[in-house]
Amino acid sequence: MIAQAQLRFERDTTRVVPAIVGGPETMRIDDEGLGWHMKIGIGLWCLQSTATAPRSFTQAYAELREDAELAERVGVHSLWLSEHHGYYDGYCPALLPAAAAALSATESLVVGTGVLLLPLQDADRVGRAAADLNQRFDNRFHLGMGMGYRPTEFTAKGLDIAERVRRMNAGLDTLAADRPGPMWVGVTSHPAARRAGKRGLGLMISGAFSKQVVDELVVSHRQAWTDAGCPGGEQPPVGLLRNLWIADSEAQRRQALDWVRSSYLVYAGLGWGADDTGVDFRAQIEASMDEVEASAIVGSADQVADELAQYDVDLVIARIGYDQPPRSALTEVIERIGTELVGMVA
Amino acid sequence: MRLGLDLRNETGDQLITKTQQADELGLWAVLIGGRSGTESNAAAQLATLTEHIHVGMWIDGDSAHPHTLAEEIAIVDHLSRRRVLAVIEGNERATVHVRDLLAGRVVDDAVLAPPPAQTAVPVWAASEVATADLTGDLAVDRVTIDEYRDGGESHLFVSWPGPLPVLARHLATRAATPNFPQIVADQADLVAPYLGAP
Repeated sequence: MIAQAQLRFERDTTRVVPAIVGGPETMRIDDEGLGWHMKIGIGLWCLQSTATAPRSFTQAYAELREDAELAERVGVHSLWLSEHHGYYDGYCPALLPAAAAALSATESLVVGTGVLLLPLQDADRVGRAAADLNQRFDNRFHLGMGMGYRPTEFTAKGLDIAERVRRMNAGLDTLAADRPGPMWVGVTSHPAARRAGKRGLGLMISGAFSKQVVDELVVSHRQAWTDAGCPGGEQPPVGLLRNLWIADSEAQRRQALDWVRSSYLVYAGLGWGADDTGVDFRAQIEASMDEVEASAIVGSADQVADELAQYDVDLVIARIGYDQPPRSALTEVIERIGTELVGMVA
Repeated sequence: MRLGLDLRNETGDQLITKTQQADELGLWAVLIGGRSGTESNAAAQLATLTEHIHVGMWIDGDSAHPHTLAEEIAIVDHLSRRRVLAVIEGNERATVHVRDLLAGRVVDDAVLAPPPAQTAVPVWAASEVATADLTGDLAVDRVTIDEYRDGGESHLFVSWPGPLPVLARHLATRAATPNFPQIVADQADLVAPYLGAP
């Protein structure tokens, strides 16, 4: 099965089109010029040791490299990391060295941040580090950025969360000018989609939105890009994060959905200390889990491919980095995404 | 006294090659630098490409919030499986802040998560770290090593212009103990010569 998929991947003799933002490779079109390929990445690697599934952090970072190697071997486009700070489970707070390790273990896999919390950092320093990764690793690093929402993460760095929008905009301006490589902006709202579009940056749409909301965000992004005079010259790509699992039987499907549901606990815990979310996490946890479950795409590779085909996006990040599945289940789904799904959506 | 290799002026393939060779030769540590934000990339890359050697990060303490610096050090510590050490230049308060966070203390109501893999990550102020530029002339460099060792230094980072096997055989050994039996290094050159042997 792996050999078959690799053959498919190698035969995908696509031609490179100009960089979206500064990098030499972000999107390809097929031989016949019939349209964009949808690429499949995997995420989100958070490298935690949670209450649900305690483990060694050092082991988690060793497995990051193993997972990156496996993803590359089976033809997955990219692996994406995620960031938080000061959380009990050690959620990865420093994505760039983690990305360096995954890039160092591979030769063609793209590694990205989905997302790095830009207002918590000095944008010049981030740009310098991102450019360094692209120089070190053949332009395989993609910088995805978001704003952050936990006050405690800002205070730990001597910052005021009230400044986050200003810092985000200023940081994006700096990076859009410096262009240290392919860049994306993680969004959950129309202002954020416009923020990305008007700077010619890729759009990375957060996980649990309906197709209608996704379509509307894409329209906002593209309109902002057009209104701004098409910065960068090429239409910036759209990525979609989706809870996703390949399962054949009903029992496997139910198991995967339970893993998706329980993964919400991480976010309930993260939001617990945030005072501006307007969410009563304990009261709403079942309803929130139902929403997450409803947005998940779980089924055979054919079924998943059919559902993804409805989306007008360039990249889907299959969110499979849950804390509960045994390691064997995670590696199996990475292999199946590469060997089955990638070829179906290309 | 432990002898480490100062590679702050090396970049790219040279940095990687020398670090891997130093790893194979059993040297204690390399010390790397770079512009702020890039040193942890390099350290993570070298950690991935080596097995045993400690990876020392020379960090500008004024270049980022100490919490950010501590986070990067902690992640490299996990990636390297307990082989990171840090030297912080400049800001003394930053050095203390980073050291406290890595030790597990709450600082300014904030805690470092994840904690590093090591129970105690070595975090030194730049002023606490001995460095020396060796010449490649063993007669001269032996004296330098003896002076630092007998002067009570526990660690010394050296730049070295010659072949690394020479450093490992003649000087890392010499640094390790007073009264180093020079005959063993000299005879080793005869019974197990290597390219570039004196």
